[in-house]
Amino acid sequence: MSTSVEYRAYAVFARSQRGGPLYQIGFVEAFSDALAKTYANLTYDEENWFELCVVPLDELRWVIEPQGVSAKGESGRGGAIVEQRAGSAG
Amino acid sequence: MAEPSWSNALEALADNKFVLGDQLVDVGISAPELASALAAVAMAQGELGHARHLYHWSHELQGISKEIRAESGKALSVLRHHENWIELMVSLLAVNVAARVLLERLRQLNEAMVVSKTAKMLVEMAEHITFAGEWCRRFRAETGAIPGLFQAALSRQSDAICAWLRAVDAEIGGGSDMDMANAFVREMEMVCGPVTVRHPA
Repeated sequence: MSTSVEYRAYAVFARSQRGGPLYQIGFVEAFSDALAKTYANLTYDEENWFELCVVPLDELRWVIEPQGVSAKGESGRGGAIVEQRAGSAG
Repeated sequence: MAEPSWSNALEALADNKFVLGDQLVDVGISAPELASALAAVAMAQGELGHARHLYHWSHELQGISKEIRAESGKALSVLRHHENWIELMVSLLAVNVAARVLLERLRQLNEAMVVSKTAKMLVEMAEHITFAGEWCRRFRAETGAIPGLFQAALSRQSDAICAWLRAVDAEIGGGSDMDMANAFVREMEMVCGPVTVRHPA
């Protein structure tokens, strides 16, 4: 298969019963929305979900984005901690 | 009540799904990506479940009761062996589209028993059609040898299935002998683009 097809990562969310919380239960990767939905339905079949949905990760719009605790990575998370330690050592 | 003349068609459909289910396991594990391989194995269970359901229904129409140990020999030969993932996805799509056409025709009898026997299967088949259809659209848009291999498999499987549907139409009577074959080609084209089928002389 060619590498020109674009794959997207999707977060999978599910609700067990009406009124219950909507949890993220996993991830799938697919080259189309329809395929992502099929993968989610076939992979996460451990329960008879009341609701199941997929959201492309690049469509998530963070309101509060979690900060990491390890050294600064590609996303820039954890940079504040590394800077604090460098400041206290000097 | 669905006519006993439908029993052969249902048994043949069951055989096709039985053989396809086996192939989804044998060839499906060689899918280009892990998620697809897992999906193929999950759908194999679905296909074998449909086959079992259709065998029981066919036997009910014939007024017999027998254990299902193997397929009855009516499966299309093009479904018995697949060289690669491309051929497998074409077969998965074609068999389920044909099954949908046939079952929708049966539902036109408007009997509660037929509707209840087909409702769950049609929902599951829609998912198989979506999965296979996405892959077939991708094959068509690929570069290199893949589109040619896809087109060849599509013509081969479509020819075989159209011939089978014409035979079913001729056996059950009650309409033009091109009804279900034409409906099959139209649905396939809606899912994955142009289909070239040889028409009978």
